[in-house]
Amino acid sequence: MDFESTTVDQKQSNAEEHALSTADLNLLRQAAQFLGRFRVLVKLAQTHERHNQAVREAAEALYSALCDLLDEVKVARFDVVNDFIYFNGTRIGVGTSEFDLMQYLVEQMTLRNIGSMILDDAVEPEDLLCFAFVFTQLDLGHKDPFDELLRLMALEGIAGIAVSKTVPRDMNLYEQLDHPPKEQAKRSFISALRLIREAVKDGIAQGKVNPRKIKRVIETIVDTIISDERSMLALTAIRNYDEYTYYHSFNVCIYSIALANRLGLPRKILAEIGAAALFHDIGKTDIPQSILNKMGNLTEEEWKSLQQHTIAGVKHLTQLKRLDSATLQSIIVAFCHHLNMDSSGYPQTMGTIKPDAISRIVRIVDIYEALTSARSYRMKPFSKAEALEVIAKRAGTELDATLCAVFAETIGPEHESSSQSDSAPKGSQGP
Amino acid sequence: MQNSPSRMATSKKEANVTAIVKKMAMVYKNLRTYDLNNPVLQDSFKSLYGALTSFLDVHGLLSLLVRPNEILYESVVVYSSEEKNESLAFNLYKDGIRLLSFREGLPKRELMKFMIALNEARDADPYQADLVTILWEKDLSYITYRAVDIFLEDDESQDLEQLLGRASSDQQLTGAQPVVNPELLLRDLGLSDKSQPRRFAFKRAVKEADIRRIAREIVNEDYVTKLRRCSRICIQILRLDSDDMTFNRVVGFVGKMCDWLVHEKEFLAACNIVSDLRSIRDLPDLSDQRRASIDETIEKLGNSKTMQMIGEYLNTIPEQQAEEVYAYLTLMAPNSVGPLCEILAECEVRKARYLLCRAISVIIKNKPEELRPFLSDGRWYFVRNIVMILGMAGNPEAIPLLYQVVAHPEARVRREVARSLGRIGSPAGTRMLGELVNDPNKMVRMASLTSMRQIADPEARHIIEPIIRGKGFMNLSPDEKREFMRTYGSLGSESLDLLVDIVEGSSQNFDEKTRAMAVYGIAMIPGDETPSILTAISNSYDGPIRYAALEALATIMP
Repeated sequence: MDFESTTVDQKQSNAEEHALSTADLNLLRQAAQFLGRFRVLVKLAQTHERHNQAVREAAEALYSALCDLLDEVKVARFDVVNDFIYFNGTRIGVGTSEFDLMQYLVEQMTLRNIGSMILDDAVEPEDLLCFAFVFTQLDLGHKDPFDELLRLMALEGIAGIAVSKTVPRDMNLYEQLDHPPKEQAKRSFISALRLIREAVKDGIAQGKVNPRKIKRVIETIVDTIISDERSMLALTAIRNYDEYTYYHSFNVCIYSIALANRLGLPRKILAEIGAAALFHDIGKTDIPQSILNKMGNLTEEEWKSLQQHTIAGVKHLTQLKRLDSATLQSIIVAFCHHLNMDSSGYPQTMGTIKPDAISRIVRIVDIYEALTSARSYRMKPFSKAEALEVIAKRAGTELDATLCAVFAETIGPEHESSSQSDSAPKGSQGP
Repeated sequence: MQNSPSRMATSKKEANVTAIVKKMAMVYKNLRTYDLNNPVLQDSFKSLYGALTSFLDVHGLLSLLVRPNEILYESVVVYSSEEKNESLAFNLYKDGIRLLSFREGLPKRELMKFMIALNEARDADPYQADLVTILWEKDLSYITYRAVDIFLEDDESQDLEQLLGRASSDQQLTGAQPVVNPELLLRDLGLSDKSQPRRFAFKRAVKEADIRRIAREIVNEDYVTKLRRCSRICIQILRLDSDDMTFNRVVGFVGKMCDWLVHEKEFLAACNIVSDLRSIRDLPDLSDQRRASIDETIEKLGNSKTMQMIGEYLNTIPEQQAEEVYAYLTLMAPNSVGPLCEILAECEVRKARYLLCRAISVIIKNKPEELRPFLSDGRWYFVRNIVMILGMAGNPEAIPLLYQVVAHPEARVRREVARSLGRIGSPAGTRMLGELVNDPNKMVRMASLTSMRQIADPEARHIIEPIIRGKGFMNLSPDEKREFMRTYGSLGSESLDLLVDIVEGSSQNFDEKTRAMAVYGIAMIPGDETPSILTAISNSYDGPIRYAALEALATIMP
């Protein structure tokens, strides 16, 4: 029984989970590779004959990917659950390269009412080839496409591949409890804003900011981003200049989670990143409003004072007196989010402290968000293109090039805020 | 939803669900009572899994509606309990779960994770986590749930309108906009002013291998790595920061992290932290208040619980980590001595005992008085170790403490006292050695003579000479006589006259063998003349004396 393999000791359990996630990550990548090759075969099957060389090679490649998987597991099971594909019970992380792939496959499987696809070692390349053609040529206008699929599979004599029907949701119950994605995104937005305002106004350590509450809010944001990234990113266009820090923190949180999601990270880590990003500027509560809201350039002294917010952030977070992973990560990000990869930036650490990957994510997002929002500088914000230009010039030196590139993909052209225009003048060109 | 009508189970399907939920409640109850390997718990879990998967194989899905005291399936009450503490329904409901669904293909491991989550939530600190959070972290795929957002139930819509009303888009920005230098904006963000042309193309930079590398970097950044990184940051802040108010708090936090690292057996990292704290403490311009804060934190690290943990670990410690533990322990404050001594008293592994002795000796080096209470312990072996530690510390202030056990009934303790006096090496110990050199036990006397040689206090001649001249001396064994002679010789050239007298047989009626022993004493006299004296003696007609002289010459001549 599986009980033996589980321990109630939290520390050990954390370690096991960590080890599991590292091992799983490789397996999930193999599963994603299989799905990628499946899509290639399906697409080829739409335009080519079965005997076409390219088709046969694609089937061989798919078979090879399946063999890799079956070396690790007895059965490869792919389930479509809540718009995601799960491999043997674990959600396949949606990385940059898998994003479109997953959307395509979920859509195609849903159209055919396929809830699960199970493959075992009885499969031959020919079975994969036949299945791809049956899958492609299925009449989607059929009154029950799934039954038709089963009939065609039996007709082709496909072995080693089993499919099961999408399990219908108990719609009555779900309708009562579910919120539409956009509504859910708004709810998360409000919760996060409230949270950061409470943290700033009441002081994070006064016991008024409930860690459970933080977790719940961040978890909702993570889920919303995973299921409906666009709705969530659209909310970053909302601004309130009186409460710049809150809105900025919220936006940095959203963008950071979205970027990290493109790396295919487990959602528990996404939640940690979200929390760290949400509180990255908590130290600004110690900086006089006269500096934060100053219209115009800061003096040298004011600038030095502003720099102190990274240190102040750490001091605020140490008030939590908790040593859970999320708190530690928040401290690291609060300190490192103005540190560059080449040890420039601030606070000056003489290279003794290098920014970790999560701080590097928040660093990029923070710059982008600060440049594209008008805040107290009372200047017109940089356009998305201009902000990306600033980032691009520093990619590979001050900023992590790969993360910059993933971020550019994350915000993509479709997330161009309607309120912003690429032709908008730079900050220096105010009226 | 709460007001929807409900009825009791009638059909077979409903009866099956009732049985499943009953089994689930049983597992839930058993989890509280039994540990995970208990057969009662395992049997109840097997039974639940069997019933649930049989149902799912037929129906594909099982959705349960949760009410405060009931669980419903298709408007039918399948579980009811008014006993809140043990009620499955109430414990789901109170954390916001309203709908629970199990899907076909549910693996055993996932059901187990779910049941364990229910149990964890029961004992969770409500301030830190609830069932929804715990379930979320389990990342279940075949079990789904819907929960009400308990934080958004109050005047939500009003707040939404309020917030969105106040907010605006960037385009609506109006009013005076003074010219701001964008370079300064970039400086505020910690960026350089890059005027060179851009050579970076986003699309080309996205390489799958790089993305995987970063993902791995994040996943591999485990808790301990974070602790280490965080502690380095806090230490950096302690060095940079000029704010007295928060110094104490950050120091306390660093201490907490250090304690955790020790619990994670990361002694090297912990050692670095305490070393850093100590180096900050020793900064000349540090205020007394800050110094006291660091002292207090280091004292807290020596708490008995942590020391106990280290003690247990020492019994199984790998060789290579022993020195890391030793290095860490040596940085502890004297308050840790008590718990460490308790561990020492119980420790059964010789190497671990020795490591503890070495560590304690460093900690009490300047405060040997800390060990006084342990010298009156009833366990002689423990007292012996304490005496050994006092010797290792090498502080003459320990000598008065050693007086406390100089007459200890156990000879092995007295012998250790003699050894420790030698290690301390202070002439202040000579008087005590004078007592021990007359001890009824030979091994105590021998150890005392060795220590006298180590101290080399000329005053010791006044202790040894009467013994050599005494009546009892002739009754000692040859090796002991030899040790007396050697020790006497080692005390300086003034010992020469008596030793030469003994060799020549002109002083007292010493037998030939005893006279030969005096030759070894002469060999111990420091000085250039010793070889010539021994050469002269090597011409003696007396065989044993001649032989002793030749042997002594061989040992001192290069």
